[in-house]
Amino acid sequence: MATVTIKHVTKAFGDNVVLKEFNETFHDGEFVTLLGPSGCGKTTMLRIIAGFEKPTSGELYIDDQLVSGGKTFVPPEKRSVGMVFQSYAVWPHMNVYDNVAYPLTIKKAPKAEIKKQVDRVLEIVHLSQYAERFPNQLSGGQQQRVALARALVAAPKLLLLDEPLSNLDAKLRESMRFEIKEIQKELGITVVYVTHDQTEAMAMSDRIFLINRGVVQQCDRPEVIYNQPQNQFVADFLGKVEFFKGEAKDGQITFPGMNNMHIAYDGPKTGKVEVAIRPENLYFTTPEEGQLAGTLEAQYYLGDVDDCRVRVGDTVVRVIAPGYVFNDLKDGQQVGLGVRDFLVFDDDGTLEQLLQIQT
Amino acid sequence: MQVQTKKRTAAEIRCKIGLLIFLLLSFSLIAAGLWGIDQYNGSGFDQEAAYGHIYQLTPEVDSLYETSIAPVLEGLDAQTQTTIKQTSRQLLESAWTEAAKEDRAAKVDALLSAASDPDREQMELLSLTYSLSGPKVSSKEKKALAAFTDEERAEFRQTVLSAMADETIPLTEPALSAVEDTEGLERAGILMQMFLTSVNADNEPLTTDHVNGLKKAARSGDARIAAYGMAAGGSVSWASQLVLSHTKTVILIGALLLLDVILLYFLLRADKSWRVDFKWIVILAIVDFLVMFQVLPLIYLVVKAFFPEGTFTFEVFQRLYTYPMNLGALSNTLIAAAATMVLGTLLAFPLAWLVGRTNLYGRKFFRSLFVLTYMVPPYLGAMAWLRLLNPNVGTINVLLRTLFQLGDAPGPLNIYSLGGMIWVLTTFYYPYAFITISRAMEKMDPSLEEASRISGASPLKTVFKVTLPMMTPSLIAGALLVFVCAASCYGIPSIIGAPGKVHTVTTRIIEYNGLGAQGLSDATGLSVFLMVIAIVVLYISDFVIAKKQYITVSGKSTRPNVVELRKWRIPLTILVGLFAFIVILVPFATILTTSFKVDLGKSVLDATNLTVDHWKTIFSRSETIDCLVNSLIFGAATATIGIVVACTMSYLLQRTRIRGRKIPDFLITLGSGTPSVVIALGLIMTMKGDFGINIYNTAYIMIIAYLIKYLMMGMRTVVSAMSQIHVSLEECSQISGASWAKTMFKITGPLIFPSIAAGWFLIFIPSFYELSMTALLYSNNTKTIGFQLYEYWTYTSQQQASAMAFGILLIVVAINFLLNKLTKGEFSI
Repeated sequence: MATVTIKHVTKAFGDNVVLKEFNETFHDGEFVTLLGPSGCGKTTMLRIIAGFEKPTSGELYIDDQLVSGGKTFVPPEKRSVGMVFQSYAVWPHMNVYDNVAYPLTIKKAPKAEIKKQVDRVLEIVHLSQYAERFPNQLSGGQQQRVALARALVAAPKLLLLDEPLSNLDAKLRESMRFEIKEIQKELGITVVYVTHDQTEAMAMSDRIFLINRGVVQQCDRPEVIYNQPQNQFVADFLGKVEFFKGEAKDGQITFPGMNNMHIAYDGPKTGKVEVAIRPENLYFTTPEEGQLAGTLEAQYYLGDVDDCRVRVGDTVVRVIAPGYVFNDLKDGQQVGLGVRDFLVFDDDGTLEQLLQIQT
Repeated sequence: MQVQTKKRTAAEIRCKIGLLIFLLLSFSLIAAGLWGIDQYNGSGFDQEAAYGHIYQLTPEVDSLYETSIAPVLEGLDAQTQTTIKQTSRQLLESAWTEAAKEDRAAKVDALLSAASDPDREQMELLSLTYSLSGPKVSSKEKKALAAFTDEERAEFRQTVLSAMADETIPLTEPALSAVEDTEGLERAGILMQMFLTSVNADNEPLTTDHVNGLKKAARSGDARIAAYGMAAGGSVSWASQLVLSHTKTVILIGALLLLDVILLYFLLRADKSWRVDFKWIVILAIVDFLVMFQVLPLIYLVVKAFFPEGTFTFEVFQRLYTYPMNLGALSNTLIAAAATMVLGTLLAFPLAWLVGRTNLYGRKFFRSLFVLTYMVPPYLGAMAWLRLLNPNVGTINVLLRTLFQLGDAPGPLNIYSLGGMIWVLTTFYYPYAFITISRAMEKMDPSLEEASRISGASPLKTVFKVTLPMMTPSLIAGALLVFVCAASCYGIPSIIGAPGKVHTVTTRIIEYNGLGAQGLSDATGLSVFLMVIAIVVLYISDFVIAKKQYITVSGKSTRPNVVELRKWRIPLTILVGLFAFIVILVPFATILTTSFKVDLGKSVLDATNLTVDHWKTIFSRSETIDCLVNSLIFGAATATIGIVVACTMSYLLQRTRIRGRKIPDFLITLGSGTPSVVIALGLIMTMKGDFGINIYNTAYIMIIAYLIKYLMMGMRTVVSAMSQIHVSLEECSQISGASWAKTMFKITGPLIFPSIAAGWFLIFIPSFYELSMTALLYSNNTKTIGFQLYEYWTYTSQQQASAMAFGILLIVVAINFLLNKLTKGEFSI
């Protein structure tokens, strides 16, 4: 229904540059997530799209209309977008019905039409029976859905969500996640979703924009971004990962910190490299069969998984094994480790800097 | 289980026995007091008899009385004698007051330097008068009197005595002729002075005991006077004398103890643990203080209004509320307060919004400017506007006449009118609404407004659909605050209203207060009206609206939403600037220029009309300096006591769940909501000794009045600071091994220090320049700078008053600056 085109958008508050050269297009009907640590600039980007902030430079188009850039600035109320705020921003002096009806009332829509639309969206968010209630009589999750209904009632072409689930408890967060996704699919609207929760991003998004320090590190489908991270930051931010310094030579990578043990490698990189291994991509085997061998130092049984520490040479390696292996292993036991998958980055000395999160 | 029950019962029994003992103690105190009063009544001492006792200090006095005074008195007819006796005390006091009006210290100095004059007798009389006047004698005068050596005193007395002993010129002769030459009060005064001389005619220096006895007698209530008299006559034992002299105090202590026992019983019963918590003792101490000095006076005031002579009657009200001048005052008060409320709120909301929520130029500057007005005494504004809008010579009027060529007729604007009063009230009370609304706006989650914008509403529509409705409770609270402040304001109506014959309830109350016994009961009747208004407003704003206050979940890290004014930015900035210029800068500048004028009516631009004499005068006049010192001392004392109570209360309210902590909190809120004149009037009527405490005409009564009115300001500041410090910070200190006291000292104290300092100043500043209560409570030795300024403005010189006013303004600004530095910018008023 709407595309958002962002051209060279930069935003600075004084000397503090929070967004650098943002250059993307969000497609029609797409569920896009802006993901990143706090202070990375994702909320600022969302607020620029909404019209609450003006970009310092660059242009922003919604569909083909220039809304921010140069001397043009379309105020939020003229952008026809819906937005859900982190604090819900449900007006305490209006009941649920009036809250939701507000965007239509402002448009001076006919009463009957308003009623029809409000009933429709309240149905969608399962709040039909609460129409007469006031916000202070609602739970956090219900208020959140009021905010969602209000954002949807005017049938916006674009829906912006600013960490809408962060004030909810874990269970509710999980169910709301799917509800929002369902609603988006049903209505087919474009959604820009801001969160710092990677699980949320993975579960809902068509594309994830992973942002750090004002720069988009990578944007792609969740499975691509997870499996083929473009840099160490992306690998580190999504899921769990451990980095090991090694040297690629002659079809294998040797780890000096692990008694010069090595794993097979047929990739293009040579010389000093950084190998990123996700703990779940390591599995236990006998010392003889394993690509790596070491001593089991500790186990943390978490039910579904067994989170283990294995000392290989001077390095402690984290292994996430299925829960059932807990009973088969003993601390101090010699174990072998198989490597299912790993990623190789050039060791250009930027790892520390990349992992540093700006707050 | 059984053990536990047993234990609980044991504690319960212990508590109950303890309470019973205290209950009995309180009953016996009350009974002893009542017995004392009964004894006193039964012994037939009336005021005259008590005076008689005082003068019968020695047998010699008796004989002197017989030989010198009695004949004089006998020579007069019975009615005159009674008049003299009755008025003598009153007369002495008024004579002293008269004398005090002039520079008494200087007078004493002059007399001392003229020690060889034939006026010695008079001088000695005067010195005796001073030594008797007790609380009226300033330390300076005491020093002057101390300069008399005992030999000198003896010499003076000898002179008097020999004059009396001289057969050819008996004292009775000049006395009689003096009496015959004078009339009424003056005649009685001379007699009284002779009377006093005769007391000392034994040529013995007065012993300290005698002097103290006389002082106390002159100072205290009937019972004590009688007791001293009886003691002198040897008719009562020492023990009963003590009871007799303190009967009312004994009853008071008994009554407070009874109240404590009852309260404690209910607290213990509700708590069920039957363990006496030390915190209750603290709470009860604060409650006792407030009951004594706040609840009792207020209740007494109401009772006195309906039972002026001890029986129920509407007579006072009928008289008061059918008298046209009072009706006018009532309607003026209501109209002025309502108009000020409406205008003030209409000004405050847009200003608060522009300054807090838009990209207006100089927002911070304007904000501090508007808030500064809040700290400036309102009478200062009245003085300035009087100079600006005086129908004849007011600067603005002259300007308008010249501009529009209106001729020389007075006007077009007249400050001496209800409209003028409303204007000044508005310019000085809108900050109350401004601050209330600004604070609420700051607390409001900005995304509530953003949600409206994104829903399609323009900024203006958002203001009306979201901001304004959300602000409604605070708006009403702010408006009501303005209403009650304007209704109970004395400074502005007294300066503007009085010359324009625009009376208000407050000015009527203070006028009535100066009109003897009936006046006092009339003042009481009027103050009940103010009290009712205040209580209704307090109830609405604290118990109805406070519950409706919207609490919004605030999203973190959202920048305050700033509305772009775009093309309106410059015009609105100019408009706000113009407002600040007219309402703040022009009045302050007027005060400053007035203080340099020779002739009030002429322009300050005329070089011959400029002088610094007024400033020189106020800095050189010892009276002004004394008043300033008084103000500083009273303000500092009030603030220091107040902040200690405020910290204690904050701790109890924020850090404990102790039962009963809300009782003092409620009383403090009630006190701050009560109009100043009502508090002062209540204190006057109850603190003259009728209830066992006599602090009338002392500094104590003023400090107590200030405390009751302003304690809340300090308390709110400390409470809100404490509420922002999470308990875990303190718990963490305790878990690290620090004791409670150390935690308070090392963690909580430093964290809330800025607020404690701010709280101290918030009590200090209004106490420092207070006028409404001071006008009722001052005595010659407890005049404050605010009252002195008022006196100068009304009776002496507007220029000098302006100089003082500007001085006060500078002090307030300096304190604000100091506070800002002291709290590292965290807090300024």
